[in-house]
Amino acid sequence: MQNDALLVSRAALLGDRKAFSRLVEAYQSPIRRFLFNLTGGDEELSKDLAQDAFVKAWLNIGQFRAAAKFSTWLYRIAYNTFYDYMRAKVSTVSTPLNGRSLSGVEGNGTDYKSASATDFNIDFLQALKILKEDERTAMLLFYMEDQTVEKISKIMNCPKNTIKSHLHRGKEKIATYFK
Amino acid sequence: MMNEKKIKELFKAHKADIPDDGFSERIIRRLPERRSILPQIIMSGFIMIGLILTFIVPGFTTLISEQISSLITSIHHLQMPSASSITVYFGVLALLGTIGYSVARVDI
Repeated sequence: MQNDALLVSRAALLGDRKAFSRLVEAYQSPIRRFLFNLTGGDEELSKDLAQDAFVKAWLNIGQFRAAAKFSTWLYRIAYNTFYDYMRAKVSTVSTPLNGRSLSGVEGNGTDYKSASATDFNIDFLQALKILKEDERTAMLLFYMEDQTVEKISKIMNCPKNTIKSHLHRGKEKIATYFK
Repeated sequence: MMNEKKIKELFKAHKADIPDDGFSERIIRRLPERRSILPQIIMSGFIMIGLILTFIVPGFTTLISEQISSLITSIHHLQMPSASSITVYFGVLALLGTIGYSVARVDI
Protein backbone atom coordinates (compact mmCIF):
# COMPACT_ATOMS: atom_id res chain seq x y z
CA MET A 1 0.00 0.00 0.00
CA GLN A 2 1.23 3.47 -0.89
CA ASN A 3 0.31 5.04 2.41
CA ASP A 4 1.44 2.14 4.60
CA ALA A 5 4.43 4.16 5.76
CA LEU A 6 2.21 7.07 6.79
CA LEU A 7 -0.25 4.85 8.65
CA VAL A 8 2.58 3.01 10.42
CA SER A 9 4.18 6.32 11.45
CA ARG A 10 0.91 7.58 12.88
CA ALA A 11 0.32 4.34 14.76
CA ALA A 12 3.90 4.19 16.08
CA LEU A 13 4.48 7.85 17.00
CA LEU A 14 0.99 8.95 17.98
CA GLY A 15 -0.62 5.67 19.04
CA ASP A 16 -3.25 6.36 16.38
CA ARG A 17 -5.73 3.46 16.53
CA LYS A 18 -7.62 4.65 13.47
CA ALA A 19 -4.45 4.47 11.40
CA PHE A 20 -3.76 0.97 12.71
CA SER A 21 -7.35 -0.01 12.02
CA ARG A 22 -6.84 0.83 8.35
CA LEU A 23 -3.77 -1.38 8.27
CA VAL A 24 -5.73 -4.23 9.84
CA GLU A 25 -8.53 -3.83 7.29
CA ALA A 26 -6.02 -3.93 4.45
CA TYR A 27 -4.12 -6.99 5.63
CA GLN A 28 -6.66 -9.07 7.56
CA SER A 29 -7.64 -11.11 4.49
CA PRO A 30 -4.17 -12.25 3.36
CA ILE A 31 -3.00 -12.90 6.93
CA ARG A 32 -6.10 -14.90 7.85
CA ARG A 33 -5.93 -16.84 4.59
CA PHE A 34 -2.25 -17.62 5.18
CA LEU A 35 -2.95 -18.86 8.70
CA PHE A 36 -6.06 -20.76 7.59
CA ASN A 37 -4.01 -22.77 5.11
CA LEU A 38 -1.11 -23.16 7.52
CA THR A 39 -3.41 -24.66 10.15
CA GLY A 40 -4.89 -27.11 7.67
CA GLY A 41 -8.22 -25.35 7.38
CA ASP A 42 -8.93 -24.65 11.06
CA GLU A 43 -11.02 -21.46 10.79
CA GLU A 44 -11.35 -20.68 14.49
CA LEU A 45 -7.71 -21.34 15.22
CA SER A 46 -6.56 -19.25 12.27
CA LYS A 47 -8.81 -16.40 13.40
CA ASP A 48 -7.37 -16.54 16.93
CA LEU A 49 -3.81 -16.65 15.64
CA ALA A 50 -4.52 -13.72 13.31
CA GLN A 51 -5.89 -11.71 16.22
CA ASP A 52 -2.78 -12.46 18.28
CA ALA A 53 -0.58 -11.49 15.34
CA PHE A 54 -2.24 -8.11 14.90
CA VAL A 55 -2.07 -7.36 18.63
CA LYS A 56 1.65 -8.19 18.58
CA ALA A 57 2.07 -5.94 15.55
CA TRP A 58 0.41 -3.10 17.47
CA LEU A 59 2.61 -3.60 20.53
CA ASN A 60 5.82 -3.76 18.48
CA ILE A 61 5.03 -1.30 15.72
CA GLY A 62 7.68 1.06 17.05
CA GLN A 63 10.28 -1.52 16.06
CA PHE A 64 9.19 -1.67 12.42
CA ARG A 65 11.93 -0.40 10.14
CA ALA A 66 10.77 1.25 6.94
CA ALA A 67 13.55 -0.52 5.02
CA ALA A 68 11.30 -3.58 4.85
CA LYS A 69 7.74 -3.67 3.52
CA PHE A 70 5.07 -3.62 6.18
CA SER A 71 3.41 -6.72 4.68
CA THR A 72 6.68 -8.68 4.97
CA TRP A 73 6.97 -7.67 8.62
CA LEU A 74 3.35 -8.63 9.27
CA TYR A 75 3.71 -12.03 7.62
CA ARG A 76 6.77 -12.62 9.80
CA ILE A 77 4.76 -11.88 12.93
CA ALA A 78 1.94 -14.15 11.73
CA TYR A 79 4.37 -16.96 10.95
CA ASN A 80 6.10 -16.61 14.33
CA THR A 81 2.71 -16.60 16.08
CA PHE A 82 1.78 -19.85 14.33
CA TYR A 83 5.21 -21.34 15.04
CA ASP A 84 5.01 -20.44 18.74
CA TYR A 85 1.55 -21.98 18.92
CA MET A 86 2.77 -25.22 17.34
CA ARG A 87 5.72 -25.45 19.73
CA ALA A 88 3.45 -24.85 22.69
CA LYS A 89 1.01 -27.55 21.70
CA VAL A 90 1.40 -30.83 23.55
CA SER A 91 0.10 -32.92 20.71
CA THR A 92 0.26 -32.36 16.93
CA VAL A 93 -2.34 -30.20 15.16
CA SER A 94 -5.51 -32.23 14.77
CA THR A 95 -6.80 -32.92 11.31
CA PRO A 96 -9.84 -30.68 10.82
CA LEU A 97 -11.26 -32.78 8.00
CA ASN A 98 -14.69 -32.92 9.55
CA GLY A 99 -16.61 -30.53 7.33
CA ARG A 100 -17.31 -28.29 10.31
CA SER A 101 -13.90 -26.66 10.23
CA LEU A 102 -13.40 -26.79 6.49
CA SER A 103 -15.36 -23.69 5.55
CA GLY A 104 -15.18 -23.83 1.78
CA VAL A 105 -12.10 -22.00 0.59
CA GLU A 106 -13.26 -22.44 -2.94
CA GLY A 107 -11.35 -19.99 -5.00
CA ASN A 108 -11.43 -16.33 -5.93
CA GLY A 109 -14.48 -14.47 -4.76
CA THR A 110 -15.98 -17.41 -2.91
CA ASP A 111 -17.44 -16.79 0.53
CA TYR A 112 -14.88 -17.89 3.14
CA LYS A 113 -17.64 -18.94 5.51
CA SER A 114 -19.47 -21.14 3.00
CA ALA A 115 -20.93 -24.08 4.83
CA SER A 116 -19.88 -26.78 2.40
CA ALA A 117 -16.38 -28.06 1.76
CA THR A 118 -15.92 -29.50 -1.70
CA ASP A 119 -13.72 -32.43 -2.45
CA PHE A 120 -11.49 -30.03 -4.34
CA ASN A 121 -10.87 -28.00 -1.21
CA ILE A 122 -10.35 -31.03 0.99
CA ASP A 123 -7.88 -32.34 -1.56
CA PHE A 124 -5.95 -29.08 -1.54
CA LEU A 125 -5.80 -28.87 2.25
CA GLN A 126 -4.91 -32.56 2.44
CA ALA A 127 -2.14 -31.97 -0.09
CA LEU A 128 -0.79 -29.17 2.08
CA LYS A 129 -0.79 -31.51 5.06
CA ILE A 130 1.66 -33.90 3.46
CA LEU A 131 4.20 -31.10 3.39
CA LYS A 132 6.46 -30.35 6.28
CA GLU A 133 5.66 -27.14 8.13
CA ASP A 134 8.48 -25.17 6.51
CA GLU A 135 7.65 -26.51 3.04
CA ARG A 136 3.97 -25.62 3.50
CA THR A 137 4.86 -22.12 4.69
CA ALA A 138 7.22 -21.48 1.80
CA MET A 139 4.76 -22.85 -0.78
CA LEU A 140 1.86 -20.76 0.55
CA LEU A 141 3.91 -17.58 0.71
CA PHE A 142 5.36 -18.09 -2.77
CA TYR A 143 2.43 -19.46 -4.77
CA MET A 144 -0.55 -18.02 -2.95
CA GLU A 145 0.64 -14.84 -1.26
CA ASP A 146 2.98 -13.84 -4.13
CA GLN A 147 6.03 -13.24 -1.95
CA THR A 148 9.50 -13.41 -3.45
CA VAL A 149 12.15 -15.84 -2.25
CA GLU A 150 14.02 -12.94 -0.68
CA LYS A 151 10.98 -11.81 1.31
CA ILE A 152 10.15 -15.37 2.32
CA SER A 153 13.68 -15.78 3.67
CA LYS A 154 13.10 -12.69 5.86
CA ILE A 155 9.68 -13.92 6.95
CA MET A 156 10.95 -17.37 7.88
CA ASN A 157 14.37 -16.12 8.96
CA CYS A 158 16.33 -18.64 6.95
CA PRO A 159 18.70 -18.46 3.97
CA LYS A 160 17.37 -18.11 0.42
CA ASN A 161 18.86 -21.44 -0.61
CA THR A 162 16.94 -23.14 2.19
CA ILE A 163 13.73 -21.51 0.94
CA LYS A 164 14.47 -22.73 -2.57
CA SER A 165 14.96 -26.25 -1.21
CA HIS A 166 11.63 -26.08 0.61
CA LEU A 167 9.92 -24.92 -2.59
CA HIS A 168 11.57 -27.61 -4.66
CA ARG A 169 10.56 -30.40 -2.27
CA GLY A 170 7.11 -28.88 -1.79
CA LYS A 171 6.47 -28.83 -5.53
CA GLU A 172 7.58 -32.43 -5.90
CA LYS A 173 5.29 -33.61 -3.11
CA ILE A 174 2.28 -31.66 -4.39
CA ALA A 175 2.87 -32.89 -7.92
CA THR A 176 3.12 -36.48 -6.68
CA TYR A 177 -0.08 -36.11 -4.64
CA PHE A 178 -2.11 -34.90 -7.59
CA LYS A 179 -0.62 -37.40 -10.05
CA MET B 1 3.86 -34.70 -13.08
CA MET B 2 2.50 -31.21 -12.33
CA ASN B 3 4.54 -28.43 -13.81
CA GLU B 4 5.21 -24.99 -12.34
CA LYS B 5 2.29 -23.44 -14.18
CA LYS B 6 -0.19 -26.03 -12.91
CA ILE B 7 1.00 -25.61 -9.35
CA LYS B 8 0.59 -21.83 -9.60
CA GLU B 9 -2.92 -22.33 -10.99
CA LEU B 10 -3.75 -24.73 -8.18
CA PHE B 11 -2.75 -22.26 -5.48
CA LYS B 12 -4.42 -19.32 -7.23
CA ALA B 13 -7.65 -21.31 -7.50
CA HIS B 14 -7.71 -21.53 -3.70
CA LYS B 15 -6.78 -17.93 -3.06
CA ALA B 16 -10.02 -16.61 -1.59
CA ASP B 17 -10.58 -13.13 -0.23
CA ILE B 18 -11.79 -13.30 3.35
CA PRO B 19 -14.50 -10.77 4.25
CA ASP B 20 -13.81 -8.64 7.29
CA ASP B 21 -17.16 -9.29 9.04
CA GLY B 22 -16.21 -7.13 12.02
CA PHE B 23 -12.81 -8.78 12.50
CA SER B 24 -10.91 -5.46 12.31
CA GLU B 25 -13.30 -3.83 14.74
CA ARG B 26 -12.81 -6.62 17.27
CA ILE B 27 -9.04 -6.29 16.94
CA ILE B 28 -9.12 -2.54 17.60
CA ARG B 29 -11.33 -3.03 20.65
CA ARG B 30 -8.86 -5.60 21.96
CA LEU B 31 -5.76 -3.47 21.51
CA PRO B 32 -3.97 -2.61 24.75
CA GLU B 33 -3.02 0.98 25.51
CA ARG B 34 0.12 2.23 23.89
CA ARG B 35 1.69 5.49 24.85
CA SER B 36 2.79 7.76 22.08
CA ILE B 37 6.53 8.37 22.04
CA LEU B 38 6.24 11.74 20.31
CA PRO B 39 5.94 13.87 23.50
CA GLN B 40 9.17 12.31 24.82
CA ILE B 41 10.94 13.01 21.55
CA ILE B 42 9.81 16.63 21.48
CA MET B 43 10.61 17.22 25.14
CA SER B 44 14.05 15.62 24.88
CA GLY B 45 14.77 17.69 21.79
CA PHE B 46 13.91 20.98 23.43
CA ILE B 47 15.85 20.11 26.58
CA MET B 48 18.91 19.41 24.46
CA ILE B 49 18.46 22.72 22.64
CA GLY B 50 18.05 24.51 25.94
CA LEU B 51 21.19 22.96 27.40
CA ILE B 52 23.21 23.75 24.28
CA LEU B 53 21.99 27.36 24.28
CA THR B 54 22.87 27.63 27.96
CA PHE B 55 26.49 26.89 27.26
CA ILE B 56 26.95 28.71 23.96
CA VAL B 57 25.19 32.00 24.76
CA PRO B 58 28.01 34.28 25.92
CA GLY B 59 27.94 35.12 29.59
CA PHE B 60 24.90 33.00 30.32
CA THR B 61 26.74 30.44 32.42
CA THR B 62 28.45 33.26 34.32
CA LEU B 63 25.08 34.86 34.98
CA ILE B 64 23.64 31.57 36.26
CA SER B 65 26.61 30.84 38.54
CA GLU B 66 26.63 34.42 39.92
CA GLN B 67 22.94 34.28 40.68
CA ILE B 68 23.22 30.89 42.37
CA SER B 69 26.18 32.17 44.45
CA SER B 70 24.20 35.26 45.39
CA LEU B 71 21.27 33.05 46.44
CA ILE B 72 23.45 30.83 48.61
CA THR B 73 25.19 33.86 50.18
CA SER B 74 21.83 35.49 50.98
CA ILE B 75 20.51 32.36 52.63
CA HIS B 76 23.76 31.95 54.56
CA HIS B 77 23.41 35.47 55.94
CA LEU B 78 19.71 35.00 56.55
CA GLN B 79 18.90 37.71 54.03
CA MET B 80 16.16 37.83 51.45
CA PRO B 81 17.65 36.82 48.09
CA SER B 82 17.19 39.03 45.05
CA ALA B 83 14.33 38.42 42.64
CA SER B 84 16.71 37.42 39.88
CA SER B 85 18.41 34.83 42.12
CA ILE B 86 15.04 33.31 43.03
CA THR B 87 14.01 33.26 39.39
CA VAL B 88 17.20 31.47 38.37
CA TYR B 89 16.79 29.02 41.25
CA PHE B 90 13.26 28.07 40.25
CA GLY B 91 14.28 27.97 36.60
CA VAL B 92 16.97 25.40 37.40
CA LEU B 93 14.49 23.43 39.52
CA ALA B 94 11.96 23.46 36.67
CA LEU B 95 14.58 22.24 34.22
CA LEU B 96 15.66 19.41 36.51
CA GLY B 97 12.03 18.52 37.15
CA THR B 98 11.27 18.40 33.43
CA ILE B 99 14.27 16.19 32.74
CA GLY B 100 13.28 13.89 35.61
CA TYR B 101 9.67 13.68 34.42
CA SER B 102 10.79 12.98 30.88
CA VAL B 103 13.11 10.19 31.97
CA ALA B 104 10.44 8.70 34.22
CA ARG B 105 7.88 8.66 31.37
CA VAL B 106 10.13 6.81 28.93
CA ASP B 107 9.42 3.09 28.60
CA ILE B 108 12.56 1.10 29.19
